[in-house]
Amino acid sequence: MNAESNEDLKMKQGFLRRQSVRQLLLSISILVFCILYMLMPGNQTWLKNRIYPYFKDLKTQLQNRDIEYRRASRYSTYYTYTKKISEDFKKIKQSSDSTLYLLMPTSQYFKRNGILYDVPDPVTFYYFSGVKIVQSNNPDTAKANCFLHIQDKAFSVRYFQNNSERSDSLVTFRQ
Amino acid sequence: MLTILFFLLITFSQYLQGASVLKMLKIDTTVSERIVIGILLGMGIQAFIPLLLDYIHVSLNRSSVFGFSIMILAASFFLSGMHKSVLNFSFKCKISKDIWYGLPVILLIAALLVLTFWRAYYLPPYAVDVTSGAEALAEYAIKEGKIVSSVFDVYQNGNSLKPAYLVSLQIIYKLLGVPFGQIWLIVVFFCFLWFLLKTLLSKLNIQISLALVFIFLCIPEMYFYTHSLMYDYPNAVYFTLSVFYFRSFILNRQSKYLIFSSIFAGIAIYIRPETILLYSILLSGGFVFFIKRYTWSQKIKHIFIGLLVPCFVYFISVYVYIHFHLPVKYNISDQVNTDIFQISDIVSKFEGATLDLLFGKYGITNYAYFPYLFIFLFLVEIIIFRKLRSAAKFYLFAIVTVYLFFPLLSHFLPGVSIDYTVKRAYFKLFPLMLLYFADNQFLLFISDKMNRWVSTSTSGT
Repeated sequence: MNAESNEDLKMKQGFLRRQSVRQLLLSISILVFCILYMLMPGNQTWLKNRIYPYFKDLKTQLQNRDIEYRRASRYSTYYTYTKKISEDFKKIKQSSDSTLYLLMPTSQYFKRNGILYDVPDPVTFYYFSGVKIVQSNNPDTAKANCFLHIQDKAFSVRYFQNNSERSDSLVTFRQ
Repeated sequence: MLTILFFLLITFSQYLQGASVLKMLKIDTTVSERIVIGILLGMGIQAFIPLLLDYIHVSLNRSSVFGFSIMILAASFFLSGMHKSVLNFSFKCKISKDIWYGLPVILLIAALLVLTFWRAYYLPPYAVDVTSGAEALAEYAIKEGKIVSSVFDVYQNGNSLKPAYLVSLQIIYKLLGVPFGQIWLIVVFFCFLWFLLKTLLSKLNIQISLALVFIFLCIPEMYFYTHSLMYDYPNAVYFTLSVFYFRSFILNRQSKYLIFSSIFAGIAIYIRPETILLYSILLSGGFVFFIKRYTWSQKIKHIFIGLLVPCFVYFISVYVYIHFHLPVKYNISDQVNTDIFQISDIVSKFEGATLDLLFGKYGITNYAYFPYLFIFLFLVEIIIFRKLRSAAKFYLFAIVTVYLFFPLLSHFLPGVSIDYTVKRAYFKLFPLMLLYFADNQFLLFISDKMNRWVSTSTSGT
């Protein structure tokens, strides 16, 4: 009786061992399948352009946890130039004047002046900097009471002195 | 550290919120399903809170938002009777030993998950649709205590006029102390992935299920939006759940599943309003093609029941929000194509959606080989097995409906561009394809063969 149950136990153990080995073999084959799938050209491009750089970025990101750094690295000049303009804007802004609107040139205008800056839409600009802008190609330009002066790749924000200055700026910015 | 604690607390409160609805409707789930479905549902419900508070002009801050959340949670907790079972509540979450056999693929999946978790936390929202919309509104809602804030003082490009789902969740998570809010995306993502895996595991073996989930995870365009805030990924999640529970209703004809499906559809509509049309078509088609026993009056009655929640949510979160709450007026009729019978435009939209988005040179960049895998498995099933299971037929119907719907929508509303809007709207296709794979006879055959091979390893064989 005991010998029989020992035999049964051995058979059961052997069965379980073989089952585990086969499960393991299946797992390895599925892993190989997944790796082969990732070696397909489209997936290789994705790994190369996205996933590997994401892993590479990790080290720098772990060392730089500052919020501003994170914003600047994500949005690049789209954000950094916006912040720079807003600093100039804040220099001329009266303490609590919320009716100030800055007339912004188009991205092409910046490019012509040697600055590669893709001007954000007014909502994004406001989100980044707290500065309300009016884009020269939008219909609400009459709201603008100051404008961005660009000279030698440097910005400065100035108030419009009169209506002709506003019209001139609009014509220039829209070009 | 405190933020992590708050994050865990809010996730737990979302679970309780969702689980109480599950209990109220007496939806049968396993423990792990209850957790992930509960969290997803709870999060969807919580996303209405900042909006409702804004409607009644209550300032949005920590005490109002979390206080109101606790009140809603307590109410549903007591209504569902969950308070009675809270003490003998236990997590008997049994991890099957089979899971160890999937460990190598689980590690691959985990690497991608960790990466996306980190990026969602570390980086700010990127898409212009969000920085010039939901994210800006949420940021100023925290500063000014209201959704209708000074953001509307500047010229709008339309992105801030979208329903407030993202805005509300961004407000909640920013109030928790998370600077860029969007980490809720990783909760949605993880819970959804778990749900998909569990669904596949109910039919297929662990190795095939994990491989399919891994391939799904590696859809480039979808993976990107698991850590970059946008409307379409959460919309696809809730839409898939609504389709899944509608299928449960078709199987057992219990109205609770229809109501549950419609709740998920409601949340999907809160994210993207056009989902109401898609869900209506799907619901009507489902009753016409898949429920033969009902009389026409029964079908109409049930379609009506199924559309009650979606229509209510649409009214509250889209119609009232856009027409009565926002200061900028937006009229959808201005966007409608006046030349709707222009066949060449319809053809070009389908051509764009099929040849460019799914299968063209950009197809692989967008969705990798997932659509090809679907076509391959479908053809094998049709050619070799020549018979489709009823669940497979239903999911194929859902896939075809989604595929046809968006190019047509793009024809009627030219603002819905193929290259951007439809590309992301097609995210809804892939989880449905994955659900179809669970009933694909070829995969079931292979899974069965594998299981037999493992279990017939008796001595002497």
